[in-house]
Amino acid sequence: MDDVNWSELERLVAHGQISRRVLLRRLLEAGGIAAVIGPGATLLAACGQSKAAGPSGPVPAGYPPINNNILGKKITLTILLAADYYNQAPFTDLYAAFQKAYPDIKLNVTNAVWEDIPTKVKTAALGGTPVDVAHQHAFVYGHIGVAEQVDDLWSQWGKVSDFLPNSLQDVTWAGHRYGIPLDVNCLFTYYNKDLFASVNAMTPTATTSYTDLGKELLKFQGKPVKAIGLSNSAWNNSGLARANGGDLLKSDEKGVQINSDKVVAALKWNSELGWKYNVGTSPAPTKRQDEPGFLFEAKQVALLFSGPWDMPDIKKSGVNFGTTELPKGLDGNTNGSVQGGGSLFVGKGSKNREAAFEFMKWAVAKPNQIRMAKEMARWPVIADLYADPASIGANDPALTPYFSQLKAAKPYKLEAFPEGDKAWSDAVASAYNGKDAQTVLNEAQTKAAAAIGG
Amino acid sequence: MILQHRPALPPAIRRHAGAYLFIGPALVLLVVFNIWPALYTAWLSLQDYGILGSNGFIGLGNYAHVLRDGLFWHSLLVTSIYTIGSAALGLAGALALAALVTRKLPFMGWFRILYFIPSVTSLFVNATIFGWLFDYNLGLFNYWLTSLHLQRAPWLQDPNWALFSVIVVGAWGGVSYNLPIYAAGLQSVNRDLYEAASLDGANGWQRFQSITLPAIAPITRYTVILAIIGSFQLIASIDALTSGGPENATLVTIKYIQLQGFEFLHFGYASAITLFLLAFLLVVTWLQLRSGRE
Repeated sequence: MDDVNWSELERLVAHGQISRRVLLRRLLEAGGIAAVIGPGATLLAACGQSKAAGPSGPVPAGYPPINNNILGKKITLTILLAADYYNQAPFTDLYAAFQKAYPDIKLNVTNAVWEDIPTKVKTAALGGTPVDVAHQHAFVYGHIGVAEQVDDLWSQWGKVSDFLPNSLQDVTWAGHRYGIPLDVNCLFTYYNKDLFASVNAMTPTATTSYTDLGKELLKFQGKPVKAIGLSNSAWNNSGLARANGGDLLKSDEKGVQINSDKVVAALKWNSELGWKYNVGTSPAPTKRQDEPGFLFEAKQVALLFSGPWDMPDIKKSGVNFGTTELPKGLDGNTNGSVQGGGSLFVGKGSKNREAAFEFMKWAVAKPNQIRMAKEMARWPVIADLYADPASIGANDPALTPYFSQLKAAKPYKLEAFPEGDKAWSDAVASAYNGKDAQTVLNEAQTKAAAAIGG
Repeated sequence: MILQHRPALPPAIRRHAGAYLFIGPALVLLVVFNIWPALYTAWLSLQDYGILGSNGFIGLGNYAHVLRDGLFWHSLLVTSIYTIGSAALGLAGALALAALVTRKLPFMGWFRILYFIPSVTSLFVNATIFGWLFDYNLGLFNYWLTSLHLQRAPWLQDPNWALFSVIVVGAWGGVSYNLPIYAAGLQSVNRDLYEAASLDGANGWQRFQSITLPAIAPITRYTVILAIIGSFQLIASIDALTSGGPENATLVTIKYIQLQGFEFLHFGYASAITLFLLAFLLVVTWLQLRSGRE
């Protein structure tokens, strides 16, 4: 009977997370009949009893106050988070703290790799069992009608001004909000100082243009290492186009301009570094978009356009690296990047809309945002956390260009239009395979415009 | 008081009630997980059905669209090439190795264990391993090529190479799956026929052509049908290796259905393609069986 974990069983009974039958079986398995008629009898009597609205538990400092609208309601929240988030310490601690504060709310947390979340969210919505809290880009799901509009809950909360303005774009579509931003990142530049020095090339700076950078990268022709780790990711290349002042969507977001001059020029410059000038690596297939990062860490490429998520591994690799913003376009006069990160949203039709929103508020509470930054290198969406970079572990000078670049970054909004996203992705892959950028982008424009509007 | 008789069950049902009870659970599962979804798919195919539900009945509109959809026909061509390529390589490889394992050679016991491993491993896992082997920058195959002072091959990047690479992965699984079937078939061929042919002066190839191949023809027909059906259900290795790219070079029909359904959210249209594919497969299978009878 000593094997019975009484405190665990008491907790499960108190929270209604165990049925009487399961409790009986666990008592019999662990302690036999003695456990059932002895101390287990009290638990069995308590098990399954309907409880009145229970009291709230303690709320840790820095988290939102108890929401009385959901207190005492028996709710199970289904939460779908990205696989590289859900089991990280800031999140497992968050679940525990939230459940302590709301003892009647049970969290059913599942996970999926980032690329598989869209299918899971859509399938759940189609099957009539929407996910209560999902992790992706909320604006995409707001546009296709799978996310709940939460303007009213934002109004009640009154914290819009606390967020980085750019981060709110990840949850906004057509003027309405569909979720809460969770973290942000963007594309910027890493370079290997030693490899640049080995070919007497000048390292890029915050004012370097694509044209100037290209001249330096060509110095790697015929060398055993490559100048640049190329990626044919749709997201990355939208950022590289934005650096040249190009935008894939029209300003009203109701039409595409995939083959605009700025976009064509950026794609042509980047893709030709590989197949034409032979100073770039061959882009990896879709499932291994992290490969350029591996090659940079292995000192096989001298320059990499990537995000802050690569920095911990680059540091561990021992590369003598520097960072700067993306090139300032072909002529040195434009500034832009693509904003990544993610947001949480409530699945359309969720019966637990308010409780789900409450959980999302907890996820972006300052203590959790600080832990996400320090322990996961996922950067906050709460603006004033940047006032003291040391508090979020951001006082590393290598991060300065990233934070500067973030101000000019915008989300990859074409993702909200699946046909447009596919047309752009295919065109980018074709360009990196040696097709003429103008030709493939003209074809992409035709396909995307037919589905979205041009 | 007049006693009312309960209506008696028809004798046919009474006679078979026990049998119905036994098959009942399986029948329920069949209806719930196969027949009902198939009927639902047929219903969906007649609708303009998106993520938020039906936008209305459109009759055969989706089917008419399938006929005009160049990408669908392209996906069918890709699938057919994949089917022929992976079936030919997979079945030939299986037959060759089956001939080997039915001989008394050293270490055959170990080999019999090893050859079935790809079949019991998840298709996605197999394909993911091949994905690394095929990797342009870091893969083992290109490492070997460069060690031999040859150019690296763009196994998965180039549209001309990608389908071939996917076929190799399919054939790898096909060899493993079909090998024991062929091994059993080869062992059932009457040894006297070989002896008689040898006495008549037939060489090894002649014996294989005139005795072995006709004897295992029913098995080959069966494995070919399975290979065709399996090929038309292919998606795991495509997802792991290429996601249908580059430039739709490996866009097989099931991947295209997934694209239309779960990425573009055209569920009605995806359902129509599914039923179109079903009809196509029925015809191919019927032709295959018919040719066997002849």
